[in-house]
Amino acid sequence: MSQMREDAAAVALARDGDSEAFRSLVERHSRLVFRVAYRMTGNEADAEDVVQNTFLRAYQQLGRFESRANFGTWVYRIAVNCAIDYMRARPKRESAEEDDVLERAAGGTGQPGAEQLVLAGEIGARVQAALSRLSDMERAAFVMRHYQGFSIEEIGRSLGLKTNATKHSIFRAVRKMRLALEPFVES
Amino acid sequence: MHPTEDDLILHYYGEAGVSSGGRSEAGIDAHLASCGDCRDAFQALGRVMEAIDAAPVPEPGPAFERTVWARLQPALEPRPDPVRFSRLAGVFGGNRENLTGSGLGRALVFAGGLAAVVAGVLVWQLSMAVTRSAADAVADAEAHRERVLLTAVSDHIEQSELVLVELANAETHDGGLDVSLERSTADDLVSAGRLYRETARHTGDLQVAALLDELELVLVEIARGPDALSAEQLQGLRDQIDGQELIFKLRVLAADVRARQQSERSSPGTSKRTL
Repeated sequence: MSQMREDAAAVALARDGDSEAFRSLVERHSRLVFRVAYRMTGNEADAEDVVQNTFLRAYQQLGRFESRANFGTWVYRIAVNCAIDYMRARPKRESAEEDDVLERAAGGTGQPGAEQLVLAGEIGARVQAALSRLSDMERAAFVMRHYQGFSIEEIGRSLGLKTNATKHSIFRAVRKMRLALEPFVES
Repeated sequence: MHPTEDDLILHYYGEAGVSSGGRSEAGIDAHLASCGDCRDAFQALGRVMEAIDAAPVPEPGPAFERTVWARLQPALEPRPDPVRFSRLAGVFGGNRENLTGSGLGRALVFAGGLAAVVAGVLVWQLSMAVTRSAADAVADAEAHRERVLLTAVSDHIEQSELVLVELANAETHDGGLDVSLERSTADDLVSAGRLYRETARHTGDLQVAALLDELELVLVEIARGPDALSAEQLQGLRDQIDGQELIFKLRVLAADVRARQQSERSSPGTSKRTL
């Protein structure tokens, strides 16, 4: 049985109160939900909270899940919205904290050398720092488009944006990411 | 004419020309084949995008799924059993079929369900209070009731937002749009929303009460409307939703309620002034 069919069957059972069926959905999708949540929040502890909130909300909204739909796609959309809500609710972090991430990644030097920059971990830290500087909506639209492969139309539907507004969120996000990363990538 | 940076971004994602009068995928491909500057620009964009792809995400430990489930399971309430609920409605009204089929019936069932949950929580609190002081027990019961209500309101806001987002983004087919599901959900939400609005008024949370008022107007409009909306009717509804910035306001309120829930979890009783 394909995963989509297994998911649909598990959703049907979970709707009838079968908690083991819901558990199987959590086990199949929680790692991928964690990845989305991490891209959105930028740290593991927050991402874990978002994973919890996502599955709790998914459970409460199981009745609205359409059996023909893909559970994975549906739950990732919920994850993005949970992450937006979570970030709006949490206190704003000091921007110095983001700079710390870069400092740590660069081995404590203000201007890292080209050799260090090839390290995936460092690029990763710079990507995460650049993501954290996007607005919530830009980050959500960018993560959904770039990492999750949602179409612009699907993103607009999920975030309550019109197509043009969705496109502009993505354009702004890509421009900001380029500005932050191009010098390091090109070097 | 050279493609713009926006055209190149859409082309990178394979969405050039989608839902717009912009350049098509094939048009940009043809241009890139003949223009070195644009090809360089597109490759530079690709290099940044690849670097973004390569950024690693920490891998959770092997027990991650088990941990998620262990934290989640206690928070999952049993899903409502429709058969049991219709029986409950029958007890309230004598005529099960008529009562569950109407908005009033659902309101009664919902009110009954909510009251049962709150009563259950209070009974449990009372039984725990045997070994503690009366003052502690009352404070705990209030804090617990607070949490139950916050969870219910949070769910109400999410479901309302979902209905509005669906309608704000739906497209008509053959001149019409089937909104029967949204209609029935809106009908349920109107009944529940009135309870929450009254609670908000009683607790002095006037901003929440005002927003629930605004929301009710739109939900009633949807609930009393036809099962299929014409393009004009849909546009009218969207104008109403956009004009009041309802989706945005609901998201702000949802975030606020969630913050209160978190604060309740970490220091029970601290958000007593609110719902």
